[in-house]
Amino acid sequence: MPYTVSALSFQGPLGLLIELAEKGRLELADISVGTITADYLLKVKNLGVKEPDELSDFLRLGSRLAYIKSAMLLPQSTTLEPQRELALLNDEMAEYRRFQQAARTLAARLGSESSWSRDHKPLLSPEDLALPPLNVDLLQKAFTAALRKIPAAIAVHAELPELSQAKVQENLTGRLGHGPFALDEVLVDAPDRFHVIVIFLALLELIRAGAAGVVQAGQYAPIMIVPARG
Amino acid sequence: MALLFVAGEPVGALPLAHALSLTERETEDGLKALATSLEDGPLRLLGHQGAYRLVTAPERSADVRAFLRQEARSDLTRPALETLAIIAYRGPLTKQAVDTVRGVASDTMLRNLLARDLIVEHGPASEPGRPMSYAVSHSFLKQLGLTSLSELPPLPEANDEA
Repeated sequence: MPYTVSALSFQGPLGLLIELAEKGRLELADISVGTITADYLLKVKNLGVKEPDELSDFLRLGSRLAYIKSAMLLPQSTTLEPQRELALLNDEMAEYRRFQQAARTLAARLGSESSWSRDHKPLLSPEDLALPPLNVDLLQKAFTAALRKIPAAIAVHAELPELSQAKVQENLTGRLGHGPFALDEVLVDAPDRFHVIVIFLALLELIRAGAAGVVQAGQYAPIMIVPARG
Repeated sequence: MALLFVAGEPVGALPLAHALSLTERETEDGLKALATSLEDGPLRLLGHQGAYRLVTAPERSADVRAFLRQEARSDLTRPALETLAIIAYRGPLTKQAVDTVRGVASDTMLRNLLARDLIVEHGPASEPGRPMSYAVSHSFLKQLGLTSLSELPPLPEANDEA
């Protein structure tokens, strides 16, 4: 939500304040830029989610306000330059407002009065895609994909890591005791390809032995490792 | 029209001229005549930056949308829409030129609009450093149901109130 100024002589959006000041319908001398900035910073501090667009909007409008006000506070008779700068700023603001209005017009039309061509690509939702049954082949593909994400380790010495399939099976079985969990949760901790392969073999062994199963709720849904039925 | 139909995507006058054994000028005249003849029908000829494609008439948008099971929605943010409007009315423009009008950096907005295929890289501008300039795309015109940029609604006057 755009920042709203709450001063004694003005209450409303910052953009409107600047617009009124430029039109000479608001006395900027009565508005404290310092108070507005302090108030805004306090609001930003208390914000849960900070929107970069709104933060940059305030910076843009705030800097314009500071510039216009500093130009107004300068002695008017000494030079014409600030007047010229103000006129230029007014022109720029007016031009920007034209595009703001045009943007609203585009927003109203975009997507509602469209044309379509033969190369139109339908946007498919996951529900539109048929889900193949999860089997060992697909599971193997998932592991191969996981392997590709991990660069091959450069062998420095021949010492084998302290890892065995039996240990991983034991670990997976222990986790299954607390309920289903995502395959990704196991793979994310694998430091190298060797660990991924051992996890894969351990999982296959659990499935073969009927101690675990794998399910996937839908396209792009995580592959879940579940306790064996019955 | 048959060539445009099978092409699907935007095609320039030159390849059409070669296929039809016509000059480029004759082909462009033919395209203009085709655009006029299509005016009251279900199709339109969209022409932008020297490339042409057949599209459905915007009046049929609701029917086509229902057939394709698509919802009418525009989830562009206000800054993205402003950036798009600036490029549509003043483009091709460099990022620096867009920044000057908006008063803030537009990198994210440009990336967003490029990703959505609403703008395209038009080519290096003829200014120092040869920065990339951006123009609206065929997809932009399609989404607005326009056959060319000249059909854009006029830019509001400076003293127009929204």
